[in-house]
Amino acid sequence: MAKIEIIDNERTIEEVQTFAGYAFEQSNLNPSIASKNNVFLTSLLVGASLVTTNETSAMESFVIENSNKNEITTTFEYNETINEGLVKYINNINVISKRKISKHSLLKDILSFKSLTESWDGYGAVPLEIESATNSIQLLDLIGENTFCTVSDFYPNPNGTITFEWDNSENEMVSLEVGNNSFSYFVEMASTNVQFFNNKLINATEAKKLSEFIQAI
Amino acid sequence: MLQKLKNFLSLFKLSNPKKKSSNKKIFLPDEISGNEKIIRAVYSPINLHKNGKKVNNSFYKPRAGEDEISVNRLDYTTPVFLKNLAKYFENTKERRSYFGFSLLKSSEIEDSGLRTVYSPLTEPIDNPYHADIKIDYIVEKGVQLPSEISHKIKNITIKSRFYSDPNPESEEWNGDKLI
Repeated sequence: MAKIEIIDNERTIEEVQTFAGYAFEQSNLNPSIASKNNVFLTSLLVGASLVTTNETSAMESFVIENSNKNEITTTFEYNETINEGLVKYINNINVISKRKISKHSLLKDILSFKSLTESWDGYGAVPLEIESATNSIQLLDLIGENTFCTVSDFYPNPNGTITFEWDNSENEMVSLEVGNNSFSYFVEMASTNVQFFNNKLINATEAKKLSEFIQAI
Repeated sequence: MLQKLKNFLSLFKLSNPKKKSSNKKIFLPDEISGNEKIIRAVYSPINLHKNGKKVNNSFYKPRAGEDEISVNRLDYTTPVFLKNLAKYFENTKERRSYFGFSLLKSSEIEDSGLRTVYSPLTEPIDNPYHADIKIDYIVEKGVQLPSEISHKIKNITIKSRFYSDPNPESEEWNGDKLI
């Protein structure tokens, strides 16, 4: 191959379905064969054609010739076998690529908030409390570096606690505030009402719940 | 020290910025209308979002022991007075330097479930333009806010406009129009 091309894989399932549908329309396959189950495989086939053909005319040239129902059935079985592993792999890649800060830098910044002077904000704020800092680090370890380090912003609060925020381009957000004894957070998703969680203890169970929300962002 | 004294004296000079006589007592309406501009000086870069174009949520959070944050009613005073006021409270030795303002409309605060009350000050200096944004919850040191209140504060933060001062040392306001 003459070149390696990195393709942006951030597509919604609706986009993939539309694309897969179009690909089938352009092919000689029976449209009834196309279903949600083979969306991923169809995308892979189309993707392969993009790489192996002239990229500007790939869509037009995409045709699956000499296919019949038996061949497609075979590929369905193959797809089911590999799909789970592939999805897991792609999710891992996505999490790593979303990471915005290293654990080392994050820890360094958290500790720097402890060194702030009294009234650092001009309005009587206190520096980050040592217990809030250590609780944050404990939560980071429980949630896992790959997930936690996708944090969009974090900052100390005037009363000695610390806030971490994860957001996305659709204005969805998880906002977490860690205190000396527990943590609270709210989750704002486009599809549901804002969810509020208060005074959660720092343990694996609560960290897991929080982690699931962060990963959904 | 000299600069500090200068700032302090300028406050007396400007305490009645929209009237020629400074001897008269200033009366502002107790009720704050929805269109009023509510302003707060920004001192710390930590209060800014990492993109540097807006404040983060901690900026509108009260300090421990309080249920409110200090603001001013811009419609009745001037950016110059407020800038001098802000510089009076700065402490450059502790890296607490004034560098701009954050602005909201009173209605934007109300719409987010918080309220603004008029609270003129006589100490440490006379400030008839002072008001407070009330969160109706006394913040404790080291204790996180109820997430419902954090969400309200996030909402006013999103609506706020940050105005960086291009020349913080100047006695004039040379930044964008405060709207």
